[in-house]
Amino acid sequence: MMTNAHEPAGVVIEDLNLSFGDTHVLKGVDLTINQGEFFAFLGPSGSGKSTLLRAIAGFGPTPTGRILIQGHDIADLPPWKRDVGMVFQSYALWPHMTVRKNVAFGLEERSLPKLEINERVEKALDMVGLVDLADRRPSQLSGGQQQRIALARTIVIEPKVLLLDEPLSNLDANLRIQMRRDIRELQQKLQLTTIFVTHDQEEANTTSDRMAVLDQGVIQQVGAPIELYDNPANLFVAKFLGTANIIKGSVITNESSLVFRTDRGMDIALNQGYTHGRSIVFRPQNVDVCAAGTGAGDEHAKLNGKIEHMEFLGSIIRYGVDVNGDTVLVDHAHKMGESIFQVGDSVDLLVDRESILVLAA
Amino acid sequence: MSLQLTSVQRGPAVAGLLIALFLLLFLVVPVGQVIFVAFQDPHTGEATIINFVDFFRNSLFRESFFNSFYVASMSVVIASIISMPLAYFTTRFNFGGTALIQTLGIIPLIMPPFVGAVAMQLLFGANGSVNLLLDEWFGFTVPFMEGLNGVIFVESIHYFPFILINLSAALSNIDRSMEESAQNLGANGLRLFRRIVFPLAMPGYVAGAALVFIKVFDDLGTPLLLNVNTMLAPQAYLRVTSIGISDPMGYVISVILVAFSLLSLWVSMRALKGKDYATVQKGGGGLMKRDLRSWEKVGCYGVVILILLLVLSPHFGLLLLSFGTIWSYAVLPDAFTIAHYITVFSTATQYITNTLLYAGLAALFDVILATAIAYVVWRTDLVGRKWLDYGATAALAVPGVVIGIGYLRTFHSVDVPLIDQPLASWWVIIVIAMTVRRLPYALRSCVAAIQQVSVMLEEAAENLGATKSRTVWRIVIPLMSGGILAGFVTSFATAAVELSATIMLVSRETDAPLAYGIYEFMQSAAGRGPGAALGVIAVLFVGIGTYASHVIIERSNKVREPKSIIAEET
Repeated sequence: MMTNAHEPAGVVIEDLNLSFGDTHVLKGVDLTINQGEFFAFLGPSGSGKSTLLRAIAGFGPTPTGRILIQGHDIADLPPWKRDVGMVFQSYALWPHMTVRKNVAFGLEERSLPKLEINERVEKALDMVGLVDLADRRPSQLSGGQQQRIALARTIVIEPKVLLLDEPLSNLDANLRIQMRRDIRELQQKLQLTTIFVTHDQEEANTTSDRMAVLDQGVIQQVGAPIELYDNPANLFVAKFLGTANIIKGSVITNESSLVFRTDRGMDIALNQGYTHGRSIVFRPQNVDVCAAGTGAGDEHAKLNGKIEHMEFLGSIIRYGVDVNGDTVLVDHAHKMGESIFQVGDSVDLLVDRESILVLAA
Repeated sequence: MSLQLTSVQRGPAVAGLLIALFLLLFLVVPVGQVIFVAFQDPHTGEATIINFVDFFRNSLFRESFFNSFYVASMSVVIASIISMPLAYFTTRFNFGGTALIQTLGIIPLIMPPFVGAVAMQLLFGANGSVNLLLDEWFGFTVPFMEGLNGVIFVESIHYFPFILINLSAALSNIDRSMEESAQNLGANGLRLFRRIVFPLAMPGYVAGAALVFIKVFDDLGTPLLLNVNTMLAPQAYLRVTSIGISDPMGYVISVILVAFSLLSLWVSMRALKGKDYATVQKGGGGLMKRDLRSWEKVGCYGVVILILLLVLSPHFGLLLLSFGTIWSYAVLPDAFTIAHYITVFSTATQYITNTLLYAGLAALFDVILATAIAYVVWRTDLVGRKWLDYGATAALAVPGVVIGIGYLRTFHSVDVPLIDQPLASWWVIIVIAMTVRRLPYALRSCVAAIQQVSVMLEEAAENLGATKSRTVWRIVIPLMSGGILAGFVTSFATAAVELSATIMLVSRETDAPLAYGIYEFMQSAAGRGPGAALGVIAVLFVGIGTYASHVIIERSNKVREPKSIIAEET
């Protein structure tokens, strides 16, 4: 995503710390989110992602540090003066108001003329495709419709930033996929800086331009989804973004070649460029499995092992292969008629050397 | 948390302080005054326990103390005897009369016991309908209403629902699996009951029994109307009204009443604390129920109908009395008339209008205070906010007699500017007494309401630009409205029949409310008819109020609330 040089960044967070009583929840968060960017906070529960989002909106304990929105420090402003629109996980639609009243609320609080309110409410409802339901109560709507109303209620005030707190978690699987496309489309149309909190990496991958992976109140890594998946900065990111083989050991430099010697004493050939590291990471789809005794070229590291277990997952077969005491997972694309290895079979594994990542920890 | 207030805390802080001041002035100070005087030598003003020594040296007081204790204990016993079979039928059997039993649990509560007391004398007294019939048919009579028996009889019929509701709730919260696993491990029959069912139901029973004990112990109206004066509450009333507010004995009795109130509240809380025995699991629910054999069914219905008749007898008696001409030494009144109602509406309307005014104002203040307290306690982080809740709830432990005596003592020398009379004899003090006494009911209702409003709904409003006060106004209060309304109705209905504090604070006839009017009328034989007519009106107030509050709560709570009982005290 391009940043306009004249325009200040959408959201800048500087050294943000926050505690619930004695529990230090956010630890020195620094982050820059570009204007118009779709940004995801991804992390397991308890990682502090929702707390960070709520801190931007002005809810929860008062943090230390700075939060700038389009260049203005908002850390001392109460929630109602921040102009950041938040869509709550449970939607938080007011049950005593009609859909129209719900959507009009923020505009009424801004004391806009009636005519303009009606016009903008109509437009917002039209944008989420629910004009027909304007006079219903929230309790008469389905989960997906409630979600759209919550979205309309927030975008109608034209916030500087749109905050989405796990907005899809209360929807069923099919609706979730539809909804995330719709949200992305709406965001593109409005060119709205958007922060999306989720624990689901697929959701983050499919919607966001960039994302931040959080764990235990610390940002682990920031970047585009593919970048993070292919080049995780640490073991947590590697594991959280998808299945990964992690083997502990150390880098050994011979006179001619570079190898990674596992703690169990097996050597795995590496490409040049690494001098140290305590573990290697590679993903199951970057490993080929073939019958023992197959030859391998320079582009592959060859490991010998025995099939420990086998799971048929439909499009792929996932083998667990015991390699000198370490279990390596291998994803093999399933094609009809192809022979299948059985538990106990001796096999050779060809790991794409390019894909082997050496990590410090 | 710092003591420096941020701008958003300022509003709630001011409200909190004003409420604290109100509670201090009209609850803490008067009760403190009562306790202080009880421990003060009347002549020298020094701190002493001589008043208590004098109290126990006096045989009349010793007798009163014993009688109060005896009446309260016996009422618990009788109330338990009435409740246990009813609770057992509903939870143990597939019994068609369950709805009937639930109704049984509400009917007594809509009529304050003192209202029906005189009618009960005409039905069950030595020359009452029942004994006349018994004598005619079988040649013997039963002294139902003789002396203390009368108080026990009237009180236990009135208060048994407290035990019934708590016990039924406890029993139906026992999961079937509790019973089945005991059977699976070899227990059955009585042994199963003794080792599993009984211990699991015990906390609910104890909580209910403690409530009954204290309600009876504190009750002033019933013994007064039955002319039983050798009990603590009537003694306190009589000492203060006949000897004067400087006599220490009224204060000593007040301290004893408060001490027992606190003790039973403590017992009741202890019983329930840490014993959340709600063992019902998903899909389970209740003990094993079985169908009744036909002769058992007859027995069950027999018991239920007998109790129903008993429970309805005060209402029935009151109705007869209000429409009867002369009713003396006869099973039924000689003839029927609407003359008493005409008398009431031509000469005693001020009782009704006063009640509407007082109870209406008290209920209004109650919900305003309760809403503010609920908000401060549950939505702010002000230091000491919990004390507002404790303070307002503490009124539950203060018997009406004590509030009355405390107000007389504290405010008899406080002159109200402009109207030139002491605060203690101004009608507004009655409103304040009602407000303080009914505040706990309104508070529970409002707290339940605010707890059902998700904080997210408020955050969403703030996020969209509404300030704290705008959020309260547009989101919190509308969403609480059901609870607030229910609180208003409950406070109103129960304040309308408040007697024990009111009776002390009424300084002139024209200021008197309904409950006082009923008491006045019932003093003379000629006044019984109109008194009963007023009583019927009072029952209508409370009955309609209770029903309305029930409907409001049902409608506004989609989430099912645990059964709680809101009952009046007089």
